[in-house]
Amino acid sequence: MDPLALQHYLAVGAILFVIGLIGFVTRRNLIVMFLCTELMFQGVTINLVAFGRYLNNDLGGQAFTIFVLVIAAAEASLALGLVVLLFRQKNTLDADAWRELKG
Amino acid sequence: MIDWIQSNIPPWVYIAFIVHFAILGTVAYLILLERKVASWTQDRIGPNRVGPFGLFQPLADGLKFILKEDYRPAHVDKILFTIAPAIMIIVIIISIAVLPWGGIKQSTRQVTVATQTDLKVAAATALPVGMNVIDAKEVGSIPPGTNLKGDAVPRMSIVDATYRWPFQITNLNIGVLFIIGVLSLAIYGVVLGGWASNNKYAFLGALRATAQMISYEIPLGLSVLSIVVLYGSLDLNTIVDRQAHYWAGFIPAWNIFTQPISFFMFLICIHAEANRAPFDLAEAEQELVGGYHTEYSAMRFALFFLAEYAGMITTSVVCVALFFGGWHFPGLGGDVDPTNPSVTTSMSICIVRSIVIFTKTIGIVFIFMWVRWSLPRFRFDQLMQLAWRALIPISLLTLLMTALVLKFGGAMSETYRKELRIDGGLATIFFLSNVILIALVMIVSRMIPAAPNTNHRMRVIGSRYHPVPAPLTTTN
Amino acid sequence: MNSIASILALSVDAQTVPAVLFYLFAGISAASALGVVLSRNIVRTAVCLLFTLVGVAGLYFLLESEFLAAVQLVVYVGGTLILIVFGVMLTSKSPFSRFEPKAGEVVVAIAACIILFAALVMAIRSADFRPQTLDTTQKYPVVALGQALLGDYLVPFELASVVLLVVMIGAAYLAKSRKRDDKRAVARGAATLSQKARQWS
Repeated sequence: MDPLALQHYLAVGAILFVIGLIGFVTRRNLIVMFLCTELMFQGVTINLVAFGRYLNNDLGGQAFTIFVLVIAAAEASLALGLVVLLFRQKNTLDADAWRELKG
Repeated sequence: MIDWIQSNIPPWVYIAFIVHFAILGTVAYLILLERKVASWTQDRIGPNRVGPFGLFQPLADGLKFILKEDYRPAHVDKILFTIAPAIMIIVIIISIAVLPWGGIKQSTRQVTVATQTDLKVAAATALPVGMNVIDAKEVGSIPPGTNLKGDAVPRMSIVDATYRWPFQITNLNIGVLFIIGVLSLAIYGVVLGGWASNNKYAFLGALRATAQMISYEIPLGLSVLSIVVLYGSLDLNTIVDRQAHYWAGFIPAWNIFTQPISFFMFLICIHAEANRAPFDLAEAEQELVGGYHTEYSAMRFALFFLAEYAGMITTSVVCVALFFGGWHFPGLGGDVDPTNPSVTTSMSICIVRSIVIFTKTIGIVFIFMWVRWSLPRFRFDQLMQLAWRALIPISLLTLLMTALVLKFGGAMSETYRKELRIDGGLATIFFLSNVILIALVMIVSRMIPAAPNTNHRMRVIGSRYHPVPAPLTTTN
Repeated sequence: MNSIASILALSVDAQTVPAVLFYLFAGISAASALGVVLSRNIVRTAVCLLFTLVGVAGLYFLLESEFLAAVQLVVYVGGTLILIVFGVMLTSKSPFSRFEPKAGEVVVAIAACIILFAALVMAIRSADFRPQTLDTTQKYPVVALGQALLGDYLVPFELASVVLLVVMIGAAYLAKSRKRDDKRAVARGAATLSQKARQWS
């Protein structure tokens, strides 16, 4: 068998995604939660590029990964602005501090 | 033994050895050159005690760095404090890997391989990894038989294989982008060093450096882009190759003539990326002690220092490749293919080319030093204004201008359509468009309202923004 | 002699080198991803994410998407993550502050994630992918990628630019509301300064 196949990359993608998910649900620090979403993004984009290369052999995977990069950059600039503003109001990064938003 | 080396060790291995030693050795002497340039500027003599003309000063400095106490203050983040200088030097060394040194070398060698239908593929297996075999001719054969042990041996062909390899460590077709990407990691060395030091001056320096480096990366990328658009390639070797001819028989077809605005913006941006005067706010001695490396000493500090100078060399080589024709020099053209002057069969030409590109690089590095000892430091708001209100709009306009000229002028130029080379006519159009663009910018920029004077908010007592009558002092 | 060569990985067959590099990069990304989740120091968390991103860029290189790898380095590592580190440094007063959910919640969450992971692995193992033959003759995939972005994927491309514009306006708004605080602080600073000035004069 080919030492490197599609499945290898999919496995790495799955590992990164699940580690990111675990971090997202078990940590309560707003910035760490944010970093974990970035990890999940990475898992997804590896899958996209690997599928694009091994299955279709076209550039769709790469093109959509570039869009993911754009969205991640946009998200980072907005979310961090918000997080810094929230931090200035309550002086903590604990996501639970904002429980009253539940309504 | 020599035979085994030839067939097993690819040439990039020894090129890598030579290039790394050359660059890291040059770095030491650049520090001496820097001090000498400073002394010339300031009408002093400069280091002259260690060896003739102070030539052994770098060795003494290196020895001093090694022998000094490796001091680490209390309450620093030990891991980050250690890896920060490492990141800095590692990224610079990685970026050396794709620098072009001597075009493409074509060699021919006789190899013996088992006969098969595609001799090119067969020859490639007998050569070191990464050789691009362009031709393989069978010149003889050994009939099938048995060897001494009695095993059957298939028919072997003696093949004259002609192959090409780039005279550099590795050739990526995204060379420029790779260098920009890897060098953008150098910010982490600064940020983490400043953060881990647990020192407010270091931290402030790191914050300044970060803001500065991400701001200046944008015009840097845009000015590179206007060259990339010109040739439709990100490969440094191709970009150099397309500049290797002459206009009107004697003017070298370098991009400094077609894209002078881009060149000046690139030069400004690599100054800012290197954190050197007039952009050295991150280590402004008068305000921040030493900036992000305040707490560093001995070899760790030396690594920061080394990275600064090695980074200067790397960015200068890129500058030479993009705007000064790389290895291009009269008499160093290729001897194989007139449409592809970078290919040569002569090893000595490759080496002379490397020396040429290195000499040009030292010229750019000299500009760095000249600027450093001539210009005063910017204020932080001036620095940000320069990036966001001047460099980024102008580089966007340059990109637009390049696209327009190529759209209308490129269609008319026969040479450009055929082999993507700028001929004399197109170059004149480019030069004139640059002049017009800069004239337009100068006219329009006077009409744009000035930025708010943020600096005036801090009203330091006694300054011209807050004139307070001086306290009365009576001395009787 | 041949054994030395294979140790140096210089003349080994072309299949082994990518495999070794794959495990290297995959290991770096997975290990530092664990670091992101487990590290208690928020700056170290960000540094771990840096190494994950670099490892993933290496994987892109192996997938012959060099352009993507370089863009990942320029945009993600050099831009986005630097922003995050900035945010981390601006908000972390005590770097070791921690606020954790209850142990029971953590156990349930981890169990759910492990089940998800097992499901994913089983899906990957059992799925029948039919890989096509790889076209390695393509000389400049960057050109092809550019044409794809402005051809087949024009609508998402334009949408992305609209998103960027919206985000730019949003970020400018956020920064502006922050400036009001600054003004107050500056006013306070100026007041104390002029008070001092009065004392001196």
